[in-house]
Amino acid sequence: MAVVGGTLHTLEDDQTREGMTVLIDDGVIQAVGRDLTIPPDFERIDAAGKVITPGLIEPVSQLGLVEISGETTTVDGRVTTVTIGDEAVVERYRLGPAFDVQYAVNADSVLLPVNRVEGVTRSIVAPAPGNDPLSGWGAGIRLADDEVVTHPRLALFGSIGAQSAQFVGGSRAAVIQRLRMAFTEAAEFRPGRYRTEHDGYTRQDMAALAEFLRADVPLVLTVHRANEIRQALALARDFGLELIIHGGSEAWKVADDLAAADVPVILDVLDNRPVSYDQLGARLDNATILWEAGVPVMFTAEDSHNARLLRQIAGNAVAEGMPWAEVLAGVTRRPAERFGLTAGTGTITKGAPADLVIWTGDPLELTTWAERVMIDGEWVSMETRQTRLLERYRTLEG
Amino acid sequence: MPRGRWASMSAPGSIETGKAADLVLWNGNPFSVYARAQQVYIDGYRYYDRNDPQRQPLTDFDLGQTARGR
Repeated sequence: MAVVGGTLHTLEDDQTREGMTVLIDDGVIQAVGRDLTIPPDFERIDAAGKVITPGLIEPVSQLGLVEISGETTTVDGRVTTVTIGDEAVVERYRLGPAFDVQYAVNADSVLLPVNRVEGVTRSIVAPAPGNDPLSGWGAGIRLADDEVVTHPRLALFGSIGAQSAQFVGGSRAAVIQRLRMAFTEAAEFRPGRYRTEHDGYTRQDMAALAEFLRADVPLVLTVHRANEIRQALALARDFGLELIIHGGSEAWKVADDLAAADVPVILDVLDNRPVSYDQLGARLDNATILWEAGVPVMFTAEDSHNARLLRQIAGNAVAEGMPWAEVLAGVTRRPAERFGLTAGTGTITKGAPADLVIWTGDPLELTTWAERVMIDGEWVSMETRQTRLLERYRTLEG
Repeated sequence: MPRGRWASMSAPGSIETGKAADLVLWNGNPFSVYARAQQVYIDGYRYYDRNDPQRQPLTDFDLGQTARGR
């Protein structure tokens, strides 16, 4: 297949290229260049007048894990404490950090088509806080029809803040202490010698933490308050962890420390109100302040049903002063690199997985839409449950 | 980003002599994600001005909190 012409954003740099040809075969980008010879058996797609970008990557979602958030039988993205009456029951074998979402990802979720037709081709799906400050393993997925889970166990997830404090007795301090004790014990973990103490981690959980410390994968902490972000940075430094901050409403206060530690922040630009006591310092130009300080910024829509709003969120970062190309990298190349997806993902470069979107215009603009979306070299169907509903009710007879 | 000036209107739906002076001054196409309201007038009073902290709404709750710092 050959995509010819248009305005191409390869993401290998912040340049805009016109009149290029992208050759795709076997799910991989074979060549990008001007005046390339197109093999006679290649389908030719004319993209003149269009804008071409890599597929968008939502770095934290529950796509495929939650279908209807209010219906518990369709919610697989967390492990909560069972309550009987008013009494919370702590079960002996309940999974904490050992919880792994990969086994629940539903390839038939109607959320996948709805989001991919608007250019979201991949996501990191993450466990939500459930019963412990460490909520478990996330997975990299592609929003395709099959073989959806591509990168299981690619990051460990957790949270610090008021909600997380509820799991450990109510104080934010106890969350930090719990995390420090967990990693201290995990570093010394010997399966045969480990004995679970009351309210401590099970052997399975401790084995998961030990595996995490050996693996070269990030710890993603959902944390908003400036003090807790500093605590997370200290934790990462003391235990040699690769940290990613998610949420980060008050990250702007700690921008220089985050930049010095090269710790990225995943944020929703429009999460700019003091909606909780963890987020009193939320502000609209958070991303801009972080970028100016040198912090790697990524964007999230914070909504699996509307991961497609990612580009609107990103566009608002541009409106608040971040450079356009830097913002686009925050929803393409940067999450791919930071989460260790297949090399080249999030770019249109030779050897990269062929994920690309042909847009009617600037992808960050509200009035633009995706005309074609490719995942691993295959054009996806642009039909979704929502387009089917539209067609059914487009004309109401009688 | 377009830098034109757009005016929009409230209930009466038009900017005409004799109608309510509800106006928004934009820094670009108001349908653009990049557009930001610069000034907002309700009944002729300038309630909001992006360049004037005195004309930006601040609740009692926000007062003295670090994000706004005013």
